This record gives sequence, structure tokens and C-alpha cells, in this order.
Amino acid sequence: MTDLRRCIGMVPQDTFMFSAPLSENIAYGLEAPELTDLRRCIGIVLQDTFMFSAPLSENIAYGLEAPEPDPVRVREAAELAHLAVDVAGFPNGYDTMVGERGVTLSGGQKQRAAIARAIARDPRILILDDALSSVDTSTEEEILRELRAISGTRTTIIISHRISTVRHADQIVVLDKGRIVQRGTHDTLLGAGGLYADLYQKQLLEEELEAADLDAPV
Amino acid sequence: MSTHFQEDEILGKAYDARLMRRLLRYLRPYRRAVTASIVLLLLAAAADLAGPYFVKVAIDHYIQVRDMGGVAVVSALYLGTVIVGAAVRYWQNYITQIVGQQVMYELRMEVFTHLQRLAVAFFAGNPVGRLMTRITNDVDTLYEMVTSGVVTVFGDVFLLVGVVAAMVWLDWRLALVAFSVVPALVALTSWFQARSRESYRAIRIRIARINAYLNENLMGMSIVQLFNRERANAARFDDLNRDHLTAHLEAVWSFALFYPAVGFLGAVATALLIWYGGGQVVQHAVTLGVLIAFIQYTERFFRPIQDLAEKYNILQAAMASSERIFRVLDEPVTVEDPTDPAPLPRVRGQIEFRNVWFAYPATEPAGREEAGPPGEARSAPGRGEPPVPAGTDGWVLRGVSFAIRPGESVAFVGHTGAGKTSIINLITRFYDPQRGQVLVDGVDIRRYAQRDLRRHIGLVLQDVFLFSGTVASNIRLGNREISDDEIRRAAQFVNAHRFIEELPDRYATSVVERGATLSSGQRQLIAFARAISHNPEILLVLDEATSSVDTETELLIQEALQNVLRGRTSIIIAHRLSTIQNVDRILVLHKGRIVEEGTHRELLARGGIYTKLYQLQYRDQELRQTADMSGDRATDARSE
Repeated sequence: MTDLRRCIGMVPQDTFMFSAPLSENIAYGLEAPELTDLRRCIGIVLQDTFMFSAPLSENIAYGLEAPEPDPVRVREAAELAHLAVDVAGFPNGYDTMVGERGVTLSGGQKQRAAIARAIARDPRILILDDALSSVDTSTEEEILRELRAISGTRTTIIISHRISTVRHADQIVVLDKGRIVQRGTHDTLLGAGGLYADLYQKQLLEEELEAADLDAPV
Repeated sequence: MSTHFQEDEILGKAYDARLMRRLLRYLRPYRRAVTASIVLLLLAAAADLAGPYFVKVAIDHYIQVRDMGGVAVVSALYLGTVIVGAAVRYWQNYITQIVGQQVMYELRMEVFTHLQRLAVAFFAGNPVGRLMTRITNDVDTLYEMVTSGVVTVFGDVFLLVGVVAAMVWLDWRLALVAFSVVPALVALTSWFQARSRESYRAIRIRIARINAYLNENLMGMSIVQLFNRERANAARFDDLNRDHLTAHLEAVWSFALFYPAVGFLGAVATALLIWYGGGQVVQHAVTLGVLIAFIQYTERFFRPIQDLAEKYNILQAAMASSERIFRVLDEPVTVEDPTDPAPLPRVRGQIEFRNVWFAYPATEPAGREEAGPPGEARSAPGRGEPPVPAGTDGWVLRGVSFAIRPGESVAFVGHTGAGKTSIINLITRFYDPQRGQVLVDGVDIRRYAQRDLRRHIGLVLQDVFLFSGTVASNIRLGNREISDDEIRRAAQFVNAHRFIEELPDRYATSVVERGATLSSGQRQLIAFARAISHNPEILLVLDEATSSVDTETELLIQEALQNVLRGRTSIIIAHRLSTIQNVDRILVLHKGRIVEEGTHRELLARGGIYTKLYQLQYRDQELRQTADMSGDRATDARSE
């Protein structure tokens, strides 16, 4: 285990910065219109994918600010997040209760539901904070491809430890101990050596280890 | 927590003979006190009954004939019964409360000791909050039942029977008149009971919903705020809160209606008595004293009925609570001691795994819907181990066999989820393997008593748990045989002595909140001292290179680790490069199997899985070590 805290971000269209007044507005909570407006244009998937005890459709439509979930948007979002296949297998489809008191979603299902929840808002800025860690690599690949296809003018920030998650980004920012130590595309960073290239080598090794199952002696 | 809320919504029957029998068993040791309490209760009821009778005697036998002396005697008697009644009630109350408290004390103790015997797996599936509720709230609810429920019900019933008997005996016709309101009273009481049962249930359900909603929305606060749900959620909470208010208001309404209605029926009965009885008195068919006694008895007749209607809810809640408590007490002890354990006075320290297959038991609480499509990972049950879906693919260890000689130190290395922690969980018998055997000194550990086995095992976990107390008490951990001197020596042996001496009260420094004032490195050193002071023959170490430990402490820990391993059978789940370089042998776990073994050099030379692991986990450390050393040298040079 390394003690280095690393995250790698991807900024495809433009770099997004929090504006200065933000911190002042936080104190006002509900009374701060700018904060609500700011958050309205952000769709975010956090590491800890928290689902509420409500039907799946309500969870996906959580950020839509409408009294009733719009079934079309819910379905679209679920398709994009590769959750629709799973939903087809649920006893009550989109009406299935999830969260603490409903069915237990697997880690991967939870993450994909959280992605659906974030993209259902059709946000200007999409932030994926370690959001694909429980999804297998091939599904991850597909989800990322779909997200790229619909990103259009959307800004996407991906935070991940996994090279496979960020390698297609327009720009990769490498953070180490709170500082930006490298930035560039996957190819330029690999060529440059350093933290990113090290991480890449390590993950190749990890993949090899995972695959080492077949020829391992018993 | 979720099932906890759901459980609380369920209200059982008000009376369940099976539960009641089991509850009464707890009263058995207090048979004499309970009997005394019931006798006193009967006495108190008798005193209650005697009052009106004395009034009757006073009026009919003395006042009517103007016998002043007799009146004085009867007044004294009346006062006497009131005093006796009060004294008796005081004693009865006192005894009942004491018995109730004693029973609750024992019940809490029983739940606690039972919980301590349960396998670690149980706690993975049962949140702490729910178990806390069992020991505190549910036991308290039972207390209410024991004190104000069961015993007092006897008194009420007796008083009721006594009043009826006295009335019939005095004058059965007047009694009939008084009882003419009973059908209405029965109807009213059963209406109230049904309503209060309903509203009580509604209140419980709604408070449970509020709790669940609060719990969820506080936990998911970041999502709430990020998705701008504050307004919508405030509206939803308003609904829930209003529901709760409505339920309470309805309960208030039925209570508010019930008491005056009972009072009104009482007044009707009195009016009927005065109308009919008054006529009888005028016609000299009934004496005035009897009529007045009747009016007083009528009042005493309504009180226990009111009481009984109220106690219904207490009984109901208590039955639900006792059911939940008993469910915890009935939880089977899955890791059990053998009936005739093999003695284990001394351990040589030979450990052997023979074809061990192990999977973590499923921890899903009962009554949940099944998970989504199979094949996806479920929530992890154990610490640091991979999730285990039911079925054949859940094996964490797949036919692991190895033998460790007495005094040998062995490191287990492997990628995340390779099954390293499970090895420790099996040797300490936190879990039992599904197949195969774990042997200590050639005997299956299931044949030893857990106490005996664990006495010889020292365990140093990566997350050290410090109890509130002092540094010394945390090292001694309740073992009085360990002297202060031994504690000091243990601390010196593991490099903890120096920093402990620098603490404000040295070894007597108090440890608060799990050792929050100590650094993680210092906590780890205390854990080593704790393990070593008990001088175990077998040492299990989860050795995590903690990132927050400074270089100096890190070196102290490494040195301490080497000291404690020397000459002692040790199994180390190694995360430090220095550790794996210093052990006698390394076993490489991969996907639940042992795939390679040897020394660090031998394994590196093989170029197999170990080499990959080494590159993945330890090469960084090596690089950092060299960097640190050159850094240290640089600082040294400067200071010189």
C-alpha cells in the first residue's frame, strides 16, 4: 500500500473552477439562490452512492425538482447508465423499492443508479468521483463511451484511481498530496514518466495478477 | 437500522401466554417478594373496601341512634384502615419496584453475556444501534410492565371483585341498579381500548417513519444538498410530522372523551342509586347507611376499570419488547465450546491448516427481499474481505494447507481479498471453517475451550481498540496477574516505554475516546505491549504500514515487531517490506490458495506471483526508505 493519495481528473471542454462567492454563500443555506443555481447545473456521482428508501424511479429523478418522476427521462438515464438491463430483472421494474428498506442493490448497480440520477438532470457539469470502482471494466468502458457520446458541450470531471477510467480524457490532471504534479493527455503523460506512468505500470501488474488465476499452481 | 424501524412498527398481542410464562420465570427467584407484594395488594384492596362499610356502620348503628361513643370508635376504625391502607400501599409499591429493578438488572446482564458469547459473524449482520435498543429501551418497557402492569392488575381485579361482592352482599337490588350502567361501561371501555390500540399503533408507526426518514436524510445530506432537494424534503418531512401530530391528536381526543364519559356513567349510576335507593330509604326498605356505602362503592368500582383499560397499552408494548429481547437471547451460539474440552495448559505453538475451505456466512438480516440479479457483488460481511454471495463461489479459502513449527515466524502476503485476514479469523475461532481442520499442537481447535485457546494467542490488529482507562490498564487488559513491573518491561521491549514516560501521568495517563489523544503509531506500540505482556505462545499480527506514522515512530514499530516475533510462533499479515524480509518463511496467498512459499530472496528469484506482489506493494516502500534515509543523512549533516 502506498501512502500517497492520488486522484486524476479529466477536463474535456473547459476547466471548471468554483467561483469565489461560493464559500460566502454556503452559510446562507436555503437562502442562497446562487448556490442552488450552481448546484442545479452540476450532476454529481459520489464515491458513496447513497440511495433513498423510495422507488427506483424516484431515486433516478431525485434531482429533477418535479413532483412526479418523468418516466421517459428516468428510462433514458437508466439506459445511458447501463442500469436498464438490471431493472428489467427487478420484480417491479422502476417501481422497485431501493435504499435501506428495499432490495439490496449490488455495489455496481448502486453506482450505475447514481450515475443515472446524475445524468437525469442533464447537467452542464458532470462530476464522477470514483464513481465506477464497483463496475467491471467492460461495463465501465461502455458507460464511458455512452457518456462521451452525449457529453456534447457538457463538462465532465472524472476523479478516479483507475487509469482505464480516465485514459480517454481530453486532459488529465495528476494530483499528489494536494498539489497538481502533472497534466496532459494519456499519451503525453505516459511518455513523460513520473507518477502517472508509475500508476499505469502498477495497474498493468494488478491486471496480470488478476489474470494469474489460470496458470497458478494449486 | 432499517429492520429496527420495521420491527418497532410491529405490535404484538397484548397477552401472549408463551411469552408471559417465560417472563414469569424471571420472577421465580423473587417468589417471596412477589407473594408478599400480592398479599399487601390484597390488604390494600381490603382496606379500600372496608371504608364504605364503616361509613354504613357509623350511620346505621350509631348516628341514627345518636351513640356518640360508637361514632368515635367507628371514626377511629375508619381512620385506622386508611392509615393501614396507605402503609400497605407504600410497602407494596416499594417491594414491586425493587423486584422490577432486580429483574431488569438480571435481564440486561443476561442479554449482555449472551451477546458476548455470540460469534463475530452475528455482529456483522446486526447494527450496534439495534442491539443497544434491546438492552436499554426494551428492558425499560418490560420494567414498566412488571411494576405498573402485572402486579397492579392483580390489585385492580381483586378490588373489582371485592366491590361487586360487597355490593351484592349489602343489597342485591341496589347492586342491580348500580350495575345497570355496566353494559354501557363495557361498550365504552372496549371502544376506548380499540381506539387507543389503534392510535398507539399509529403513533408508533409514524414515529418510526420519522426516525427512518431522519436517519436516511441525515446520512445522505450531501446528496440532498447537491440535488437541491431541501425544499422538497422539508415538504415531505412536514407531511410525516403532520401525520404524527394527527395521530397524537386523535389519541388525545379518545383519552379526553373516555375519562369524562366514564365519569358521566358513574354519575348516572349514582343518580339511579339516589333515585331508586332514596325511594327505598324513604320506604325503610334500605337503610341510609347502605345507600351511602353504595354510592361510595360505585366510585371505587369505576377506578379499576379505568386503570385496566389504560394498562392494556403497556402490556402490549411490553409483549413486543419481550419478544425482541427473547429473540436476541435465543440467537444460537454458532461458535460453541465442546462439552468436554481438551485441556490446554501450555502451548508449544505448532499451527496447522489441513485442507481448509472457508466462506463467510451470509449476513443478510431475515425478512429482506432477495438481492438483484445474481453474479453481482453484495455488501461485504467481514472486515477487509471480499463480498461473499451464497453458493459455491463464496469461498475465501480454497483448500489451504500449511504447517508452522513452534517458534517459527511466517508472513502471509497476497493481493486484496486473497484470504489473509480469514486465516487469522480462523485461528482465533471468530469463525469455523466449513471444511478441513485448524490444529494447534496437533489438536483440532474446535476441541479446545475458546477461553483456553485465546489465552495463548496474542492478536495485534491494524486498528487498535483502546478502552477508556489508563495506559497501564490498556496494556494489562484486566489481567491482574500482570504486575506493574511486567507492564513496564513489556513496554520497554516494544519501544513504547519512552513515549509513555513522556505522557503527563506516565503509565497512569488516562486514555479517552479510544485513545484519541495518542497518535496512531503510539496506539500501535501500546497494542504490541498489550500482546507481549500477556506473553502468548502464538502471536498473530496484522501489520499495516500506517501512512500517518512519522519515520521515527515507524522505525520504532519495525524494531518492536522484530523483537516480538523472535522465538515465538507468529503469523503476520505483512504490509511492511521490513517485516517480510525478517520472517522465517513467506506464504503467498492468491485467490484463496497458497501458491508459493519460501524466503523473500527465494520467492523473488522465482519470478512468480510474489514478484508481482512485491513490485506492486513493496517496491514503493523500498524506494521511500532509501529516499528517507538519504533525507535523514542530509538533516544529520546539517545538524552537525
